[in-house]
Amino acid sequence: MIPSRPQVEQIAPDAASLKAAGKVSSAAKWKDVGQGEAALWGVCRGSREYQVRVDLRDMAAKCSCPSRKFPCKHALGLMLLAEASPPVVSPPPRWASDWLQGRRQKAEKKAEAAPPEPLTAEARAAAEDKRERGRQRRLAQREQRVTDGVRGLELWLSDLMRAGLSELDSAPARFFSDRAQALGDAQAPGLRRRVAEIGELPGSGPDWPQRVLDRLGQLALLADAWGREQSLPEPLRTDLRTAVGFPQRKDTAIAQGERVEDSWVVAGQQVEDLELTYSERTWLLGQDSGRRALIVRHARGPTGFGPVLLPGTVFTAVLAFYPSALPLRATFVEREDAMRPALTLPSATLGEGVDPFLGEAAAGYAALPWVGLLPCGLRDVVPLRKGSGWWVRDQAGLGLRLTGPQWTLLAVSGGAPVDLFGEWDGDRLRPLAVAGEHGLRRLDLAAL
Amino acid sequence: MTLLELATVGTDALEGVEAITTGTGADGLLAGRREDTRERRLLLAAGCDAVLTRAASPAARAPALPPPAPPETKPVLPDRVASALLAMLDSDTRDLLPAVLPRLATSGHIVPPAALRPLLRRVPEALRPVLRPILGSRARWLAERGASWRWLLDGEDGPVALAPLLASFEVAASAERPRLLGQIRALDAKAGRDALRACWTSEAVEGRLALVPALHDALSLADEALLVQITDKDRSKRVKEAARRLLAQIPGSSFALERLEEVVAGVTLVPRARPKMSIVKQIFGRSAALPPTLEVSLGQQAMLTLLELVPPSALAARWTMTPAEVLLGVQDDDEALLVGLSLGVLLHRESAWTLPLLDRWARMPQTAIGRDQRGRDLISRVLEMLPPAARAARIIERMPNHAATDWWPMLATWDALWTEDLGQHWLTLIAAHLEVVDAGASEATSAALTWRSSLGPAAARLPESQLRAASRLAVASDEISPRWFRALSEFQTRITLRLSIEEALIAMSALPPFEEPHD
Repeated sequence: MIPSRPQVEQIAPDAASLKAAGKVSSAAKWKDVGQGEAALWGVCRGSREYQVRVDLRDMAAKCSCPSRKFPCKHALGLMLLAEASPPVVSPPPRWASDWLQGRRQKAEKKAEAAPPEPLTAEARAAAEDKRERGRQRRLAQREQRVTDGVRGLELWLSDLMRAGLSELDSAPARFFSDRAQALGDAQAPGLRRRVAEIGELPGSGPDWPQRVLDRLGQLALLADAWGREQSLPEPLRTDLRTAVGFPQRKDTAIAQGERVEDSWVVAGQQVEDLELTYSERTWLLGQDSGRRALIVRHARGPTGFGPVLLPGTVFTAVLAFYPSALPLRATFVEREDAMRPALTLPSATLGEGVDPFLGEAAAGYAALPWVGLLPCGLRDVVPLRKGSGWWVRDQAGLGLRLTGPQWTLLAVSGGAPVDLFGEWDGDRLRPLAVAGEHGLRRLDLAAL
Repeated sequence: MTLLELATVGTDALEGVEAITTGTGADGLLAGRREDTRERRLLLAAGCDAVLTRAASPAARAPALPPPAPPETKPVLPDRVASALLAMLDSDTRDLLPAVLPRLATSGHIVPPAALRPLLRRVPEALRPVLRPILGSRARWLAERGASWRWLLDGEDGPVALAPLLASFEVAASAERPRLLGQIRALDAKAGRDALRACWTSEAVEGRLALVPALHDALSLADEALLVQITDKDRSKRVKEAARRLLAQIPGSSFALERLEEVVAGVTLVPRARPKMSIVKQIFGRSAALPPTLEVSLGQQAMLTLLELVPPSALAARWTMTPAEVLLGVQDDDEALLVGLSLGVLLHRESAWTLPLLDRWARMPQTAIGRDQRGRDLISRVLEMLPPAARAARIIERMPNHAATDWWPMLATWDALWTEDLGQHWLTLIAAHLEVVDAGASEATSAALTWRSSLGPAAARLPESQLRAASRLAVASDEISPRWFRALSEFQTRITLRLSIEEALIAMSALPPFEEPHD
């Protein structure tokens, strides 16, 4: 599948690369351009000639230019060129076929890789024991730091309640950032992020005191739960640790998590700048299972999250869900490289109306009280605007408020029922994708 | 007190023990935490209340449904076209839109709904008329929902009424008032005049200066009194000048007749075998019927002002001569006289004079034109009055080979698609120039600068049939200079965007395939 322009924008490492790619995307700059089995290739002519290949199964690219950006402007330019005028199908030149063959062989080898030479049972047990002792020691140290950090947080919260919230909007920024930093130092990044987010609220709207109190209360619940962590049942205990900031191990999910094989539609994606790293959150919707899965990946730059997940496409994969009282987060166990355009939102992931969805949400909050965002799929809802407020209305006349404005959603719907997917924060729905008469559209970007 | 009130004032400010309850099932949970401090119980109660509120909120009744958008009667453009169109909204490719939007309008298609918002928000105001045909009924339905693009509905609700326009004119922002006055004038010239008169004393200079030209539409003898009043009494010299220019354009106005008499008296025609005109300098003395501030030393400027105000056709009629005969009388050293006549042709839009005037300019000594930027600008402005084919032919005359450079100012002001002839000539010559570049010619010559300058506008103005040929323009040499590399890359990016739309239109059979010119 040759990526569309919005999809190329998604793949580009930054805006400068995309702009530069536009400049090398004219036919005059290329020679020997061709396409074959899920691949593109061509020679870009500039001050020098660069051999460019793109594997369309996962949008991996290789170019002979010295750029450290990935994919480079030449690879992006080749995709744009192919999108504008698809190249003729032809056998690949040697330099392209070698690379493609190498990739495919590597993938096959990986799949067929023999397990390492088994250790003797004693040696394995000894190594494992040593590793486990080290891990337990580090874990105990970290838990102690977190406990100290939570104790400090509880004192800070109590002081805040004693002084009252009334003058919080004129408090210096460091009032929150210092506490957030202390929690970061205590290796509780989940709590750090929550405190930092509360710091953004004072003065942000007429109802800020209520929103601050709600968030402080939930933070207090988390801190209180940490004091009773050992007594909590699994998997709620794991969820608590995750909320505090203990990482969830991918291999644990793969080994212990529920596995679901399905064709997954990429329904929405957000990349967030976390100061030193970037986080990518992608919602996948299972066509047959009806499951909703959240893939969270981290990278040092705005790209580099691994194989591209293009919103608006569908692919087959086996996902493993992380153990949780509300299993939403998942990771890949196996993934088919080929991506196809998705035309609709999977019917099995869509609810029949607002009331059933709120019931489902209530069950979600009951299972995991500190969950932030819940997936929400609604069938046959009509977006509308009333005054400055934005809504979706179901067939029964019930509605959910939207984060606004949502002009593109309104334009796509035209007042007719559409299928909608988004994230529910307990108060408002943030639409991410809509399926209407013109197919599936993403709403998380100003792109088509 | 509610939890929020308690939290807002703070527990330190409370006397005695306040009951901390949520009034929900969470109170049962909190009852088991009596040993906790007040602050801790307050926080836990707030946390439980927040979770309960999120989990137990009943579904709200949604507002009533608006009427759905009427069905579209036109087919929708493919996503790739819409995508290319949206890419053109970037500032460095926005100048391609005037070429592309009319082309899309001829396809009979409309843009997909998802592209409406960015297009409506970001297409420049001047391009709204050419955007309108590709928007469809969905866009109008959106505009009715209270969006900031209500301009889309202007004129669709039947004829605009005068009363609301007059009301709007009274309270509108300065930038809007000239447009509103123009609309009022189109409906009722007298109402427009009265509206202007009513607000005149309260307007600042810049406001008055912007409003006077709005009288140009439906200008008639009935406006003379108001304009004379302005020229007599206004405090601003610039406003007076604007009013004078309008007065001069009212055929039969006293002002126009007086200016004609002044010119006839001041420009003497000496009958000879070859007609000759010369200026009688005395008319610019203090005794002449000219503004008393003028001095003899300002004679040339006064003459230019005077000649601009008089329609050249009126002069020619007085002398019973054709435009060509009048221009023949202009001597080679009378460049100022030619400038004055050109200004008159431009102000009064006298198209019959454009060709003879350009011929006369062409016969003027190059040194005279070369030393005066004003002369070069005037030639370009007069050239704009010609029909496209004649204008292109004149420019092509100035492009004998790729080394010529004086054609560029004339072409730079061309703000529509070039003609086929002009585009082909440009393509041929730039290809010749690129061969020279390939051979290592200096990039710092005026010819190189001219060709590089023309690349950007060319990408926006070449006819569709020449885009494919343009996409092949390149320099083969590896030693290409960075300047040329950048200029050609940007040119190709822009051509590729236009070409992608053209090819999509052809692929969907919305338009016949364009014919490639024969090499």
